[in-house]
Amino acid sequence: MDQQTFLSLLDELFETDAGVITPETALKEIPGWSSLTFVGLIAMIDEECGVTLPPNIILNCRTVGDLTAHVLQKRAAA
Amino acid sequence: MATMQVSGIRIAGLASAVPDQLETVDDDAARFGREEAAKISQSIGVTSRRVAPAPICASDLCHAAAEKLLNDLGWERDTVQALIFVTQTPDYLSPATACTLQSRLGLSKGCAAFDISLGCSGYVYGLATAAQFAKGLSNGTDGSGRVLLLVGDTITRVISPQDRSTVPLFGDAGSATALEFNASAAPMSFVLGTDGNGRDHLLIPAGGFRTPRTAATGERTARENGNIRSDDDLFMNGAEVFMFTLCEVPSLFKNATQAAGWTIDDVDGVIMHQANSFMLNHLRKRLKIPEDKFVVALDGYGNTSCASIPLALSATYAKKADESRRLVLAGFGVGWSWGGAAVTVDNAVLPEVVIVPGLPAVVREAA
Repeated sequence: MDQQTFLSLLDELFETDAGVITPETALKEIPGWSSLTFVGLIAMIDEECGVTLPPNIILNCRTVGDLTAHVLQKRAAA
Repeated sequence: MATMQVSGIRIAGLASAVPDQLETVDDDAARFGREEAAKISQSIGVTSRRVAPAPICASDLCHAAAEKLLNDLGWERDTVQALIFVTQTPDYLSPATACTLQSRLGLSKGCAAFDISLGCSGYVYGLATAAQFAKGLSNGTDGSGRVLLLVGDTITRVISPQDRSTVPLFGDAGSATALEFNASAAPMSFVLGTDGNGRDHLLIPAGGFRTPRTAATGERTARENGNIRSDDDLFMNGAEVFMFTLCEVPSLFKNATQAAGWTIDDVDGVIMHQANSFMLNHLRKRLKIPEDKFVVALDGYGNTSCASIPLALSATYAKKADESRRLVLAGFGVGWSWGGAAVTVDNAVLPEVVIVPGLPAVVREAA
């Protein structure tokens, strides 16, 4: 998995067109971000990336790029 | 994980009861907006749920289920040797609600009665306790050691009507399960666990002795995500609950199945705590449980806390009771607390879900 694949998964989850979500996008400013999509995001990372990221780790990520780095790092460590 | 097996005890019957009053996604639309209500409903898989009006307690729903069950079983009241009531929403802080239920059900003075305070894991904990009691109380003849396990909650009575993280999800229900000694009954297996670090994520902050209720704790104010709630109301951090579930439930399911010496191929039905359909479907996929073995029965009822497993059993298997089924149950939530069970339900009495009128007929007709 690379950054581009992860961005595509985010596009699918948030139903956004490619390019709307970039590594620089602030996590909580993704269009459609809510407590529901937050849980959806945890589920997507668990299902598609095979890693379980605690909610506080995700919320401490400022941007999509920070989150992607966490996911890829945790995958590499697994 | 605490693991145990109880042999020679059978589930003789199970009944569930819900209030007659419904709340629907239309009611939520009026509170939270149509689009938001529709999104929530689609995700959690609940378009309506049963809601107990103010005078109705969990004990009333369990009482109705127990009356139905005892009558259908034809059990004489004085043959019941223990009554166990599991709830987070008792009638009083004191006495134990089990004592009031002993007298309302006309059980004998020789009947042991006590409460267990657990939520979503409560049915499995209650079943483990009831099975141990039945075993200890039996004299080795079939039909001895009779125990009544009553499990129910009225969570809608401790939630704020303006909290979209709880209102669209929760419903109210009660249940009654009857256990007795039977020499040829298949053993029941249980696995139980706890992680009290989860306390703050699913909590009614005030109302106990740590933080007694005051005017201030009852004041509803704006909290996270625009939800309006007081400290007397139930708080739920959905993301933390989901995370806990992902971490604990897969191994809970596997351990419960293995404790019985089963694989998924031996199992006829998997009934997890009916938390919400999003979570249940995620767990089903992750555990590769075939869809036809996995019970999702929460629409029309909502998440009914400790009653969700017995209610799902009633809703799914009533009238098809004369078969033998190997079931894996998994309850998990508030605490954090979790319990799994592998049980064989064989030729049990399983009436259809009982509907309990919220108000006396006279009052309803006048209204």
